[in-house]
Amino acid sequence: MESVSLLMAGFAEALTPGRIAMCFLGVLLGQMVGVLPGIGPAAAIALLLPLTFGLDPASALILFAGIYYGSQYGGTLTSVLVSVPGESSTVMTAIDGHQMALQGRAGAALGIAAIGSFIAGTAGTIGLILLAPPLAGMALAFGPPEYFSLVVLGLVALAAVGSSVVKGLVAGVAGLALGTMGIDPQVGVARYDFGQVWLLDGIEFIVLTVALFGLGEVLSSCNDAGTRPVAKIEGVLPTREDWRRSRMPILRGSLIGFVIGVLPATGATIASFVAYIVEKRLARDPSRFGRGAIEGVAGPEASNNAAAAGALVPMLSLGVPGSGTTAVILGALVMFGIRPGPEMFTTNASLVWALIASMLIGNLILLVMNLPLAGLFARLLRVPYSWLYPPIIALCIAGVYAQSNSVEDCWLLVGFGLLGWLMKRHDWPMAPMVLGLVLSPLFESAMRQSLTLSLGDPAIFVARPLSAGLLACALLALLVPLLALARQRRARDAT
Amino acid sequence: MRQRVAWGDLVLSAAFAALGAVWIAGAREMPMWERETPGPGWLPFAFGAILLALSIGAAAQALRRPASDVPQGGGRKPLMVLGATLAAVLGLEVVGFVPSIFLMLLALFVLAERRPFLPAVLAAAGMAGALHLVFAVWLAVPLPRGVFGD
Repeated sequence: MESVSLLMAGFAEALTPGRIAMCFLGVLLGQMVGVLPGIGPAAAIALLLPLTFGLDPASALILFAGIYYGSQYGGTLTSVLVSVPGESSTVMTAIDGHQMALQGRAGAALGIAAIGSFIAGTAGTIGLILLAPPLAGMALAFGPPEYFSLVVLGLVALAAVGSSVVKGLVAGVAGLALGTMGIDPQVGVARYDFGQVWLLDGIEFIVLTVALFGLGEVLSSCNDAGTRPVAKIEGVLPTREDWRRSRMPILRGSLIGFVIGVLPATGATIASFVAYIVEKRLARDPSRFGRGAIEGVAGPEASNNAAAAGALVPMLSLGVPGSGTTAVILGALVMFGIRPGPEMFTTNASLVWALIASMLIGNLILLVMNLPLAGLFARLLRVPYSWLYPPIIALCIAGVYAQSNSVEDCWLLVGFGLLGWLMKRHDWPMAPMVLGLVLSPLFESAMRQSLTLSLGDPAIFVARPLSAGLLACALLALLVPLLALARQRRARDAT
Repeated sequence: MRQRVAWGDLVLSAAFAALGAVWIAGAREMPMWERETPGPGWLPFAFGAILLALSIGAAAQALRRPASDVPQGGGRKPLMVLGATLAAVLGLEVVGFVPSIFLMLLALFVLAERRPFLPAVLAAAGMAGALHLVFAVWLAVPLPRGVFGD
């Protein structure tokens, strides 16, 4: 009951003209970012950070969250119309969505995706309202050892979901290592400044995020800069038959997406993948999948939107982000002087509830915007990428320079941009690196405080049940993909 | 059949291993343990050691397993685009922000993308001007003005 009154207060905060404008701008930008290749929501939020310093934290957070879930809608358009997923979470949509477009049913695919996304986004936000406050209440009992274990779990889980566990772990530990640059927070010793004054502050997460997700992404997609054939959109309202087939996949997708989204680091991509497989398994005629089955669009689309809301649960209640984009939002919170973590629900209650209310409003805006305006957004796809990516690079340089008026940061942009391109080209995950950099200070202070408490005895991390449980989950997150891989290999060798 | 070596994975593993080695070397110059608690060098040392070990593991994986798929597209154009970006960054303090960004955009539009000259000039000037307006005028960011602007 308390949640309802807090949510109402959140609506009162979010329904001011300024905040509604921010929400609208956020989902609009998110939709565009989702449509345009070469720039994802993480880079867009990082680039916008310098522009939002004048805003109050709630408005900025509403804007960023809008970009985050708006991009899920935008990615669908490219998946359906040109079979190029704008975001990794819409890969599964491309399979049947593009087939529908080829059969002249692009409108129905986009319509059901928008409706499914709206239902799932709203359901996911309600799940967030129900789950996050009690989880935050539980987490108030967390001490430094639990925080240490939580960061380990977050990083290991994110690293373990990529194509290679080792590559993910390398990226995560590299991020943690880079996070130790600059003045040591406890004793004030300068670390890894290499005699350069500008490195005393360490590496800003904006620089790394824009370099990896902005410049690195542009470099890896500039080879394919021509125009692509775009399918036509007609009749976005689903027929009765479409609706009958999509009802249950939307409900199942919402549930699957939310549960998977809440788990640390699994996120929208895996959620959409699982939802697709579930729908295919449950279908009376699985052979329709891959040839334009509307269930193959409805399930994954619902799932990735519910997962986006679910991923905010660990971020808001525990202060541990579950994905690259939520890591950037978390970094933004820190820059606005807000300490992320379970206390947010008590010390910054109005901000958190305004954000949650804005998500419900934003989902409605997206539905209204997408049904009649899908064709307008599709026109963005007709702009050749060769006109788009040079301005994106210019924006990356300006954004990185502006956050601390430093040309040296722009050199880092070029260096990490090269690294991002190589990582993307050779399938190394980049999100764990950003997450490592963002969480490194929390990790270090939690570890040092814990060992101070225990007089240097590392047994403190396993002696406390909550901490031990979290570490056990981290171990499981690491072992499950490794065991699955070993089983796959054994099966392959046997055949 | 000869297996294709995953050179990209090897290069990245070597780069991360080098980072790990630098972190280990740097940490050894800092206090490791002070009054029963870890000092400023302890965690960087641990990160460096873990990074080095994991990178060696990634390199071993790359050597053991051949590259599964060929990376899409060549490397020439991305390197050219990166070169233009580097040139623009180097030019920030020499010619200033707006001219440097304008020249980078023009070079990318005309040389890398073979776009017609006049629209390219207009687009480059429009974008450089818009960035100046947003960052220098609206946000009051002191954008570099170059040696001629001071």
